[in-house]
Amino acid sequence: MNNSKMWLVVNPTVGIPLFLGAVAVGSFAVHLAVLSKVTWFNDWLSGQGMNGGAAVTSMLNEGDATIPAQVYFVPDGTSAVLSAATWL
Amino acid sequence: MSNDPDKVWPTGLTLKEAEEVHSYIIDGTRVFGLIALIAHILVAVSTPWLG
Repeated sequence: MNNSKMWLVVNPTVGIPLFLGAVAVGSFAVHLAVLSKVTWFNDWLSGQGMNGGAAVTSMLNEGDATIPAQVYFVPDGTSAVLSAATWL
Repeated sequence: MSNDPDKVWPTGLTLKEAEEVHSYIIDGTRVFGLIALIAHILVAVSTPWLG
């Protein structure tokens, strides 16, 4: 088998953790680099979808009057009404 | 056992043992690669990644 003779020179107790560690650190670094560059990841994390809430905004612009106001009930017993105008 | 003529130093493994260790690593790498490939396809389909 190709390259299997390396284990005659490198002790597996050293080589295997080194190999797995290199894979883990390398893949983490690549994912961190990609996700810190793209714009949609933070939007998605903050609950705005992956296009920065553009879908919601365009929905509102199409016909604000047809969108009902949202009523939020707060744990202290009060409530708040959030209209489409408030969103924009 | 310690004076097994098939053992190779510095690790003291025989060629057969080295090939067995290597086969597990190759198998693990293939499984990891397959799971990673599926995960990347799912991400490419469901996010704007890659445009």
